[in-house]
Order: sequence, then structure tokens, then C-alpha cells
Amino acid sequence: MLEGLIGGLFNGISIGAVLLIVALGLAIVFGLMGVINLAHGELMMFGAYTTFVVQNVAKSIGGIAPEVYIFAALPMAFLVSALLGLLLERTVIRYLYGRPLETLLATWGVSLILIQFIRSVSWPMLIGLAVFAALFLVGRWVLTRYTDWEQIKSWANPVFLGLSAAIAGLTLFLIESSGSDKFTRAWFSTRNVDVTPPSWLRGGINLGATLQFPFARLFIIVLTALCLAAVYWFLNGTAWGLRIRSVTQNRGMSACLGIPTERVDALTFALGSGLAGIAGCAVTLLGSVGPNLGANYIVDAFMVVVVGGVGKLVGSIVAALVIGITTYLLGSGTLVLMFPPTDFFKPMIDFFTFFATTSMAKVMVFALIIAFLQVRPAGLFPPKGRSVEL
Amino acid sequence: MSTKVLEIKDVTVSFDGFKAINNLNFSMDEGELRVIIGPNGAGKTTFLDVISGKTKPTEGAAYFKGQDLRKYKEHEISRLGIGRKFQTPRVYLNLTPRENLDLSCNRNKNVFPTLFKAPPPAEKRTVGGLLETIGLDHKADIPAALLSHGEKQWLEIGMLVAQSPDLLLVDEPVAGLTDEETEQTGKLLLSLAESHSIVVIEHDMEFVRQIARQVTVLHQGSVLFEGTMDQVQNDPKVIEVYLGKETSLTPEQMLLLRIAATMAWADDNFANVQQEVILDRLSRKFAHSPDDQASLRDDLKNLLAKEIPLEELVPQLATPAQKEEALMLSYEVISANQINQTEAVAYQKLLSLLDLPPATVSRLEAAALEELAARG
Amino acid sequence: MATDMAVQPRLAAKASQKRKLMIEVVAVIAIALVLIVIMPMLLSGFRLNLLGRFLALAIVALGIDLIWGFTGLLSLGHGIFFALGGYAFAMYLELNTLPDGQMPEFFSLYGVTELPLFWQPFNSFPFTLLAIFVIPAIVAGLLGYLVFRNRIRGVYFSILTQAALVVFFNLFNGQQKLINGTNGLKTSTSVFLGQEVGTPAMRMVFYITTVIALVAMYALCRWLTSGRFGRMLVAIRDDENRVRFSGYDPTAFKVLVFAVSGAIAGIAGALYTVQSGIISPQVMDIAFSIEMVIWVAVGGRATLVGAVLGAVLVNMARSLLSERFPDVWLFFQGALFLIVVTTLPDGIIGWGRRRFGPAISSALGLAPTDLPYLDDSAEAEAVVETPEFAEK
Repeated sequence: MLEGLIGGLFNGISIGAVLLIVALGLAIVFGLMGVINLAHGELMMFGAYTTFVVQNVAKSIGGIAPEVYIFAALPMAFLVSALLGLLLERTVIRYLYGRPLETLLATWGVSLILIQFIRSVSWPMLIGLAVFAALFLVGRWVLTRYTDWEQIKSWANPVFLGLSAAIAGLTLFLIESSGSDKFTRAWFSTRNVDVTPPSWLRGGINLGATLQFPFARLFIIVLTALCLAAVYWFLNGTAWGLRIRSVTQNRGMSACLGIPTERVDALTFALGSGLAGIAGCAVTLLGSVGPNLGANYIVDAFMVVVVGGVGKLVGSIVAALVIGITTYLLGSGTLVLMFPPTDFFKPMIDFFTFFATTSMAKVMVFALIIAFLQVRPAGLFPPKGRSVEL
Repeated sequence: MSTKVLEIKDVTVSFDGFKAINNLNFSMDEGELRVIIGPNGAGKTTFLDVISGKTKPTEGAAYFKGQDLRKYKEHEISRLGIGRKFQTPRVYLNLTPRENLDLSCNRNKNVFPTLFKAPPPAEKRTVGGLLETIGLDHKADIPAALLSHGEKQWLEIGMLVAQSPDLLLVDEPVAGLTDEETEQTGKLLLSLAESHSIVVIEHDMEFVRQIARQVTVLHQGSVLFEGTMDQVQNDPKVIEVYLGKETSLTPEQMLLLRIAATMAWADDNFANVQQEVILDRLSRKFAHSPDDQASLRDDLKNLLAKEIPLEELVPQLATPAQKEEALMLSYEVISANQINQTEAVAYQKLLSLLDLPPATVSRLEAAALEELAARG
Repeated sequence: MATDMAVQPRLAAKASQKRKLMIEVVAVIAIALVLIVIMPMLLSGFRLNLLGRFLALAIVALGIDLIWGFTGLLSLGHGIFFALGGYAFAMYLELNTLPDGQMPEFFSLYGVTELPLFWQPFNSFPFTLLAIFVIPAIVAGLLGYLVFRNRIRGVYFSILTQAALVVFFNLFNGQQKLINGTNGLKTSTSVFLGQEVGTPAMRMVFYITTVIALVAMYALCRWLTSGRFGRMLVAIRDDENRVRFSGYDPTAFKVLVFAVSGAIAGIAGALYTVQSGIISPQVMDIAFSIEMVIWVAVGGRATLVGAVLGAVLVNMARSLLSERFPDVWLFFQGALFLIVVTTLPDGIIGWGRRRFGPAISSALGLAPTDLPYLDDSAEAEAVVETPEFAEK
């Protein structure tokens, strides 16, 4: 009985830790900027694929590399996702501040593009993209330099876009038809790939007869705790954290005080995206990696944010743990075992047995969340004062 | 049994321990127009929130015509007959003024009547009339987003009236309006006051003076003072709150100061020497030790900025002694620099208002000149 | 004098409105006739079937437009209602095909010997006809009530509808014994009105029914969005608090409109199912429900014509592109989201009105039309500026 409880608790916490590390970036971006980023899952996926690439490089190096690659993969995943997030913020999201629903749709569009990108990325495609970017950007630069850009903007932009796209497309087609098969092959394709964890993360601590704490899950719990501490320190202990918090509270005033609000926005978004990358790296330990990886986590992560409220990080922590533990207890059927198998408890047992699968547990958890929101509509820790009205 | 349209009893509203409203008591009669003023953070808007149901009181209760408002939600309170206008104009930007008013005018606001019943002609006529009243009949069919700030303010007031409430809560109706629009708004509110009870929150003192009969001053979530505008302006506590500084002035001193200052302003030129005269005389008159005199001087200086019509000030002088004091000081002030045409006119007006015997007047004038000479 | 001045243009406006309505009615009937009479002559059976499916999707788009375009509530969960309508009809077809007392085949695979209770009523055709739109309406109404009554709005509402979608997907996907799980229910070989659903004749029947349903739903939405109720929806979108302080209960309006929108999606789901031949939990894919929103956005939100047009155009583009370049479709779709949101917020109809509106109006002898959807950035600003909390 006790073992079962501890085991259930551990598994619940480890599910919660995964949820939390995924939701952490979301909570920051949503809580501080009011932006719903539906591409968060795809940023995660990029983190996971980065880990996959780093692992392959480590394998080709050999020696001790395959054992420690994860420590290189974590910062790399953070970096890749953060840069991608930065690009996303600079090119799309900054034009949509104050329009959360539009942001939501736009980021969904981005997520579709990212998914297809991972599916079909190959050398020719990359070269095509580079050609396109070079032509378009250089062309525009030349024009802004030597002509009256404002006047010709209305027609020059689409013309240049079309022209560069056409040339890039042609290049892509030529390379693809002439290059060797190996060269033109998609890097990852649509199939899932597997990341092999370092050997020291396989196996686990055994306690008693049935209890096992897998190292991979312990690693994720520790990683989540470290990320939390780092984020807390960053927001509350550094100059940039102070700036982020001040922009959250009063953007206009912050701007008047000389805080570069645009840069703060970009930084906040990059931070949230980078955390998605780390989350992506972490979930490679749990299963295979595919283009649809993000979709599996994103909705649950959003539920964590909704239940936690956007006021404080601690809300996300509590929400993630509660949702994680509840999901596990329901999904594993642990609750069924709690009732003595008598006729009196039969309806209860039947009820919980019905929900004792992972997907059905989600149904029940959602019902509980809706019930919870009847009591606390703004979550555990609602934002106070004059924040963004949603 | 009671004719009070609104009664607030011992209401406290606290947000995480901070008391935005602290044990507030307030009541007003049917048909009254009440202006509420108070510095930023005094709890004015929260006060309206409590009445309109946006915020529930932590303690105490608000009663509208004897009904406890705590039991009702916002839309129910609105249906009881309380209309509210927000600080920034909040109208439906994608609807036209006519449609805006029509929605407010709807008598039965339940879902299905709204869906199935066409607006009756009577309501259409009301809307037409209101459009004229608020001066938007020529813009009745363009989206409200295209209206100016002032027109939106008016439209929102119109929407309130369309609800035909008994009590109007109006939050800063003239913020951001031009002088002319402000005056128009004042007239509008005054005409509405004939058939409604109105609570107005406002910062613009000119405007408050235009419309106010009875004023309530809020400070730190409680009522600081209640009275007419003049009483309010001369009340030391209120002045202290507004200027954020301790003052030792009595109402009597305030009044003298105001009359003297108004005389000095008569020619639109408040010369330094005039200011010196006023400060010097009053501080010596009302304080004894040099230290007290110095601090009083500072206080007085802060209060000199405002010009108020003599007709309002003079009747408040109670005793003949006060009248004499006022006359003498005024004469001294205008004589301090060259008396010119406008100052002379103002002085004549003061004389007629004071209505003192001619002998007394000339005695005081002579004394005043002596004082001046003594100052050098 | 002043009143005369005000009355004159109003009478003119009324006449113009009447004329507009007439033109609209004629146009709708004409388009419906073209779809019913001419299209079957021009298109192959396969293409006609595709068009029928797109028109069914256009019906959902109308529902989405009703709540998003007009009321400002972005639902990402309309797949639920679509599926409920589809499943309701498919269950009836399953039972109708079999002789009395027999059970659909898949039950035997999972060892179910007794028809589950909730299948029973679907033996009746009248019940099924009702269930197609009543069940989605009830589910939508209930979900809406639980969410709206707590003043959960904006993106929170969107996220919750999305989560509800995932939950319903899990529910249907996981219940093999009750509803055949992942495999869904096939309708193409079922029998309806004595004929197999998949036959050309039956397909034609469903196609025509879809066109008629589309016209009916268009008329319904048109009625809902004109008049006081329609203005109320826009008012809720513009400023819900103002609505509340004007004496209306926005929750009731939102619940009703969400339920109606769900019912419309249910009808669309039923019509889509019989034309595509299968209903499975796949229609509750997250992506499909968000796509519905983009149809409306492409066409032009808050314009009903835009919703229909957008649904048909995007789906045509989809079938063209994904047939030939399956890789490109997602890129294209992603770009579509970005372009519509950033540069074409009023969609095709809004853009067209701005560009050609005056010319068309004057050609038809009508008063100029207002822009359909004013940029809500001004509104967002107003919300942020409102210092209601300033004193707290």
C-alpha cells in the first residue's frame, strides 16, 4: 500500500515535472506578455531535433561523447529555440501585441510551417531558402539605399518577394534534379527518430520489490527544478529581470524611464522559447521524436497555465504537480485499488475503471479543471491590479 | 419609508489588505445632484464600483431605495435603475450612435425578447429625441468609432439616459473635453438633474463649480467633508488634503485671503508687491511669533492662485468686523501698485456688496493707506 | 426644420435598405439555383461531391462567423459539434441498414452483445433529425454556460475550447466498445431512404440538401445578426462590460449564440459525413478546428458571405494543392494564417469592399456600405487605458 502510494506520487510528480518544464516557457510568455504562443510545442520539437543532431554528432565522435552529449544538447537546444523564438517575435508577433486572438492564429500558422519544415528540410531546401533570403534582403537593401523606397514600397515589396521566390524555387528545382540522392534526401523525413539516452540515464534506483525510480525521470525532475530556480533568479535577481517585470506592469512608464521595451519583449519571448527548447531536449528521454511531438504536450501545458493563473510562477508549479498527480492516479487505475472490492463500492470502482486509461484520465482531468474554474475563474494565482484584460 | 435614493452604510472595500474604501457612510436624497471630489486614490471610482456592483463591499452594504445592492449582479443593478458612465468613454465602436442608444433603450433586456421583438415605435422616438439632445442627430448613422472624444462622452451619457435610470453615476464626464464642451456637458447634466438623481465624480474644479450644489469630498476611502462648494473650498481639511500640507488656517482667514486675492487679480495682473502686502498683513494679523508668521506666509502663498467671483465670497462674511477687515485689506492691496480702471471697478463692486456706511469706508481707506506708508 | 432634415435621409436609407435586401435575396436564390441546376452539369460526380463537402464546411464557417466574427469569441473546438452531428447521423444509418434487432458489425469485434443504451434512440429517424442539431447545441450551451458565467473570455475561452476538443477526441477515440474508436463509422455502404448512401443518385440528393441547408443557415444567421440581437452581439464584442452595465446579461446571449453556432456545426457535420462516407474522431483533430477559423478569416469575418466564400475557396485550394504537392500544402496554409492575420484582417470581402465597394454600390443604386469590421486595436487600447483598477 505504502509502496504503491510512493510510486504513484513519484510517477505523478514526474508527469508534473514534464508538464511544468513545457508550461514554464508558456507561462512566462503568456503571463508577462499576454501572448498565446501555439507554436510553443513546435519550438519544443526543434529543441528535441537539436538534441537528436547533437547526439548523432556525439556518436560520430565516439569515446566519452555519447555519454555526456546531453550536457551539450541542453544549451544547444535552448539556443536554437531561443533564436527561432527571437526571429518569430521580430517578424510576426511584435506587430500583433494587444491582439491576443490574432496572435494565437498567427502562431498556429507558424507552427504549421515549422512542422512541415522539419518534415521536408534538406540541403537543397536550405540552399533555396538562403538564396531567397539573400536575394530578397539584398535587393531591398540596395533599393532602400539608392531609391526613394517609401514611394516604390507598395509595388516593389511584392515584386521582389515574387522574383526572389521564383529564383529560389528554380535553384531548388535545379539542385534537386541534379544532385545525388544522398544530398537531396530530407534530413529527418516524416518518420519518428529515436534519441538514445546516455547509458547512465537508463535504468533506475530500485527500492523494495516493486518500486523503481527511473534515472531519466529523476533527471527531468532535477532539470525542471534547476530551470525554475534559474528563471526565478533571472526575473528577480538580475537587471534584465527587473526590466521585464517593469514592462509587464506598466509599459508606457517603463518606456519613459528609458527601458528599451522592444528589446525587453524580444528577450522575454526568446527566454520563453529557449525554455521550450530545453523541454524538448528533456522529453527525448521519454520517447521517440517526431514532427508532431509538440501537439502531444501543448494542450496539457496550456491547462497548467489556465489552472495556475498568470500571476505567479508558483501557480504553474502547483498546477503542474496537481494535474500530473491526478492524471497518474486516475490513468493508472491506482484509485480503483483504493476501494475494497465489495458490492457497496462497485459503482465507484466501475466509475474509476472507466477512466483508468491515459486518454480517459485526460477527460476526467478536464472535467475537474472546468469544475475548478467555477470556483476560481482566474486560476490559483490570478493577476492583480491593472493587467491586460483578456 | 425613507426618501433616500442611495445609502451607503459602513462600507469597507479591501484589496489584499489595502482599504480602497474605509468605513464609508454616505447618503443622498431623491432628485439630488451630488458631486464627489477627492485626490487620486481617494476611492472615488471604487465607490462607484460598489454601487454599480462591479465590486462587492468587503463589509457593510449599499442600499438603493432601500434595497440591498449586494444581492444583485451588475446587469440586475442596472435594471433596478442605476446607470453608470465610465471614466473613459465606453461605447460600442462598431455600432452607430443610433444603434448604441437603441440597445440601451430596450425595455426588456432578456435574450428572447431582444431576439424576437422589433423595437416599438415609442422606443424609436425616444432614441430620436435623445440623439437631438446630445447633438448627434447629424452623425446618427456612422460608426461610433468615428466620433470625437467629446461626442463619445456625450453618446455614453445619452446611453445612460436611454436606460431611463433613477440614479445616474457619472465618472469624470469632462475629462479631455474643451472648455466649450465642458460647459455644454455641465448644462446637459443640470437639465438631467431635473428628473434624475445624479452622482458625478470630477476633478475639474471649474466644472464642479458650474454644476455643484452639494459636494462630498473623499479622502483615503472615507468621507472627509460634505457641504456646498464654497464651504468645501474654504475648509482647511480639504485644502490640506488637496495641497498635501498641514495648514493652520481657519475658515475666516481663508475668506479674507480669497477676497484680497480676487481684488489683486482684478486687473489680471497679480503684482509681486500686492502679494507681499497680502501675505504680510495676514500673517501678522493671525500669527504672533515670527516662526508662526513665516510658516503661515508659506501656506497662504500656496492658496493665492485661484480667482473666485466676489458675489460668492462676500455674503459669507459674517460679522461687521470681518467685513471691515476685508475692505481694508482689499483697499490696501489695490493701492499697493497703481490703481487702474479694472481694479477700481472691482473695488466699487466690493463696496456695494459689503454695504458698509460711507463714514466707515473712508475711515478704513485712510487707515489702509497709513498701513501701506508704514510698510514703506 | 431640424426634424425634417433628420427624417429625410432616414427615409432614403430605409428605401435603400429594402432595395439591398431585395438584391440580396435575388442573389442568394440565383446562386443556389446555379449550384443546384448548373453545377451538376459542369462537374464530374467526383468534383460535385467535393463541392458538396465544401458547401457543408461552409455551413460550419457560418457558425464560426456568428460567434467569432460577430460576437468576438474565438472557438477552437467546433470540431466537437461537427463530429456530434456527424456521429448522430452515422449511428442512425448504421442501425437503419441492419434488419431490426441486429447490431452493427464492429460490436462483435469487441465482444459487445447488447446495443449500448445511447444507441437505442437512433433507431428513430425523427429523433436523429433532431439530435443532429440539438445534441451539439446542448453540449455547446453547457460548455458555454460553465465558461461564460465565470467571465472567462478571450484567449482563455479559446484554450478551453481547444482542450474540450482534445477531451472529446480522447473520449471517442478511446471508446472502441461504444462507438468503434479510431475507426469511426462508415456510412458509404449504409442504406438511407431505401438506397445505398454512396450511390450517385443519393449523393445528388445530399448535395442538393446541402445547398438548401446552406441557404437556410445563411438566412438564419442573417436574421440573427440583423436587428437588435445582432447589434447586441457586436456590442458584446466591442465592450462586454458596457453591455453589463446597460442592463443586459452577456452570459445568456453568449450561451445562446454559442449553442446556435454549435447546432449549425452539427448540421454541417451530418451533411459532410454522408458525402465523405465516414465519420471518425479525426474530425476532432486540433488542426481541423483551427482551420475552420481561417476560412472565416480569409473570407472576411463579420460578413456571412465572406465565411461561405472563404470556406469554399480555401478548401478548393487545399484539394488542388494537396493533390499535386502534398509537401507544399502545410507551408501554404501556415502562410495563409500569417498573411490573413497581419495584412488582410478584413479578409477578401473587407478588402473588396474597400477597393470596389463604392463602385458596386453606386452601380446598384445603393447608399455606400460601411466598412464591415473596424480595427479592434482602438478597442484594445481603450481597454488598457481604462483605469478601473487605478484606485485599487
